Amino acid sequence: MRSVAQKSVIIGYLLALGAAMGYGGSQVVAKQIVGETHSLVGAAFSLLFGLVLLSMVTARDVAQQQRVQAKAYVWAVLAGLASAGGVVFLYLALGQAPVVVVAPVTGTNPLFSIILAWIFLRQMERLTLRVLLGAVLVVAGVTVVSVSQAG
Amino acid sequence: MLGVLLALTAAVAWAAGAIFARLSLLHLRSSTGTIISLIVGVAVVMSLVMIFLRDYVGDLAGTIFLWFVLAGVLQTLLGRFLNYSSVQRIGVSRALPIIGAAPLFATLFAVLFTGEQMTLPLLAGTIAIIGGVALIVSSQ
Repeated sequence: MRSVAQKSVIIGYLLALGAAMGYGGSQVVAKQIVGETHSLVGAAFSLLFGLVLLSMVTARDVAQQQRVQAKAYVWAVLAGLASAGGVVFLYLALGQAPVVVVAPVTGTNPLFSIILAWIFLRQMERLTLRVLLGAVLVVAGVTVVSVSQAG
Repeated sequence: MLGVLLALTAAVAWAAGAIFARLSLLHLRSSTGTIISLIVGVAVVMSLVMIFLRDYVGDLAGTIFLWFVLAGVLQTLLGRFLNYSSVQRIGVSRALPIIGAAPLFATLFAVLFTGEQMTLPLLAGTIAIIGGVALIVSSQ
């Protein structure tokens, strides 16, 4: 019998795979969008429609959110700012260099996540050699895939 | 060189976003955290569009809005929401490398649905990504 904690971890991995599929699928759709408008306009409207849809789907769950410390909201706002900043810098980068250069570099973000988690979340997250090696392999694989597609 | 620096800044910004998300999700539901971060993101990106690219907005044709909806479902409902939900359960250092495999799925979907060719580099990249994910998942 698996414990509740083990089940939660397995679900966490499945959710991460689902997120990767979602982002991957959105990249295919984005190719259709950039053929018709500026890519940043596409990103803005996709986010806007996504926000509306997600608000409708999760309204009941959000309504059950208990009052928490203000700093939790501040972290969430900073998360949104950082993610939006990433999108803006991505488009600025694409204005300066071809996709074949930009995609592999931005694909290194999991490695930076691990480094930042090791620095700032050491109390919460244990970094193992396996996780680090796994992340390096994923980034290497993504680099090969991105370069082969861009070429 | 400037392009690489800007791309690196994007990568660091997304990584920092994951750390901030992790901290917020210690207290918030993943749905609440996702919605707040999205509101901020939409406000920033839409403001830039309205300032610098307003002409493009006026030219948007009717059918493109269907693509926006589909992209919103994939990128936000599946992507961002599941991203935050997984970070809440397994942490940044395990979730992000798996989520980072998104380009692999983009390519596989393109092979399946738009007729792109499966090439040797693509196969090699796929094997590397699967191996990497297997290492992460097998870590205690």
